[in-house]
Amino acid sequence: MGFVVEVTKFVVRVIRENLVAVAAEEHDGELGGARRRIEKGKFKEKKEAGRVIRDGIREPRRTSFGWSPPHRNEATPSRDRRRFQSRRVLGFHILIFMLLINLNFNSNKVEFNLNYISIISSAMFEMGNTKVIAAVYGPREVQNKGQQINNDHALVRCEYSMANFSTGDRVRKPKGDRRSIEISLVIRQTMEACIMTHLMPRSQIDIFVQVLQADGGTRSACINAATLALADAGIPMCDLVTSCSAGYLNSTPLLDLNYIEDSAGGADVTVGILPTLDKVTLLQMDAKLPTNIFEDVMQLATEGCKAIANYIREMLAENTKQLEFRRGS
Amino acid sequence: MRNLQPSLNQTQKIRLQSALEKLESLSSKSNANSVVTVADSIPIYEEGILKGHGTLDRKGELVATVCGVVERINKLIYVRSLRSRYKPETGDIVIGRVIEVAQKRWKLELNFTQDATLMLSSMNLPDGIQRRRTAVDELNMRSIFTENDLVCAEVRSSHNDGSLQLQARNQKYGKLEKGQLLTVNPYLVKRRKLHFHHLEQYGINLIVGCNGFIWVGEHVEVKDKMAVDQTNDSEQQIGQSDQNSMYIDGQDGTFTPLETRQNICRIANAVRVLSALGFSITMEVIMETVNLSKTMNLDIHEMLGSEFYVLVAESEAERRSMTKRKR
Repeated sequence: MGFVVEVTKFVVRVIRENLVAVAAEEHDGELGGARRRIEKGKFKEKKEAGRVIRDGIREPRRTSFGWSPPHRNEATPSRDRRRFQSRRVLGFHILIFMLLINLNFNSNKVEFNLNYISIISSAMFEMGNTKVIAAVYGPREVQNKGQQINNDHALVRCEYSMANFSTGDRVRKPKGDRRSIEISLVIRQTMEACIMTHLMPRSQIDIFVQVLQADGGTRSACINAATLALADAGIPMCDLVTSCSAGYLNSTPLLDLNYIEDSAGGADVTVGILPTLDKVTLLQMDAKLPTNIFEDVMQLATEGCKAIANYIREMLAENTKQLEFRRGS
Repeated sequence: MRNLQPSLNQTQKIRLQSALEKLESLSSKSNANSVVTVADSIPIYEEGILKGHGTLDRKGELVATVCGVVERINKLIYVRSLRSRYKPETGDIVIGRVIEVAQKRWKLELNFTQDATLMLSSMNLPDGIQRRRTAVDELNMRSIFTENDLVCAEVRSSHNDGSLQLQARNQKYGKLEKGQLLTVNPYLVKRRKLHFHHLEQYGINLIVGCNGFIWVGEHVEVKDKMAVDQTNDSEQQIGQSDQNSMYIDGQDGTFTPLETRQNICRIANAVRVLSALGFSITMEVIMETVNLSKTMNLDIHEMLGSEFYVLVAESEAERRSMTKRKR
């Protein structure tokens, strides 16, 4: 359920129908209806849609679909609960004004909000059905002195985790599986590129990201959430990193693939850029693409990043303005 | 506390909205224009500027590195960030929590990028005499502050590498007991002449730490032993006060009366509401909020409800417009 840049709008619509058809073979008509219902966003219907899709697809790998079960609280694993608890003790974690920007971008939405009363900065980022929260602790005293390599730069750490309930079927994942370690590393390196670590010697910055709902593009959503949380925490950065993924399916470049599009087997390019500097800090691709097509896909992803950067910027400006006038002179 | 954002009903939402709009219109227009986010360029009106915190020079263009408000003082341009950690200045009164007792020093956590250090030598000993700190004093450090104690101190100096030195050379500084600690965002606390307040009608001490830690506790009489020592220098006197004061903390067996506890909770809740609304926190505003809750005949727990939340927003809008008119 990606959002789509205006030019390719028509093509993608067609592609989607095809995709669904590929995924669900004879159920295509019914599924199209189901998809449309999901976009309307009613929970009951969503649930129904999830079931329909599951019935339709035979391969077990494709059965996951990004919707969260209603019993989310009971489902929170105890470790995570502990972390939330400690956060509650530390700051008065009052969720006051959830500023919501609800932008309709070709019937899909990009949503994020900053939690701006607690002392700990956190942000939630939503892109279509993908939903990610990020929390930033620090800069604070280095906890494990052994990890500190360079004394006059801040240490950036990142932990990525995926909630058990984030995918269609519940899978209990071990804590440090390879995928999460890899994504943690990717996010850390991307954020380190923009944080001005030399201004905060002998301290560390912890970034925790957790996927609440996964529907493709979790990597880029995590990076966007982390950027938002870092900017909210008042950590100096040379630019806002934004990220977006793009793919290539049925000879069409697609922006921000959803789970079904992602598992269709085409190339998936995740790009992270510094929008005002026009620099690339992250580029990952899983599959091969010819150079000329890759350029198109990359172009599309960059445009997506810039669109997201504009939203984030707008959001942050509004947030800062609110804080300032509420505080008064 | 997480769900303080009360579920407002429709009328309350509208009231809050209008109150906030009023506040927005009252805030100075120049500030609204100078809000920048990360990587926004800052306009330069004159030559030869000095770039301060939160700015970066990029190919001749001045760029912000944090979200905040641009401040211009003569030639200096800097960005004042809002939701960031505490930035210490010498002479600030801060409240911290002891996290480690080390050699000749305590390490304090005070929402700063690093732990602050309070040296044993920059600390008034409980017996109040000025002398060299001996090895015995070092061994007895835990009898002054142990881990997790709350301590009020003053910023002595902050070094280039980011480390922070504290001092507590006065009887008004020291361990805090019998009360509540509240943490708010440091940008809500302004530096003032007075950070220690004694609210006589409630019998309460209120300390507004510059680092956003606010202490509300029972009033304790500050016994300035320095003054006592200076007036009568007899050996006996010192010996007596030494014995008394070493074990005075928490073991005198007195209880805080219920009424005082209720007052502590009321003031603490006022601070919570104000910080939830993001209003700047001063003694006057806190007292006004407390008085508002009293005139409304609200229970302490009702202060965290939605109605009072909206009421505080409205009264704050009223108050700010009043002060503006006076000018």
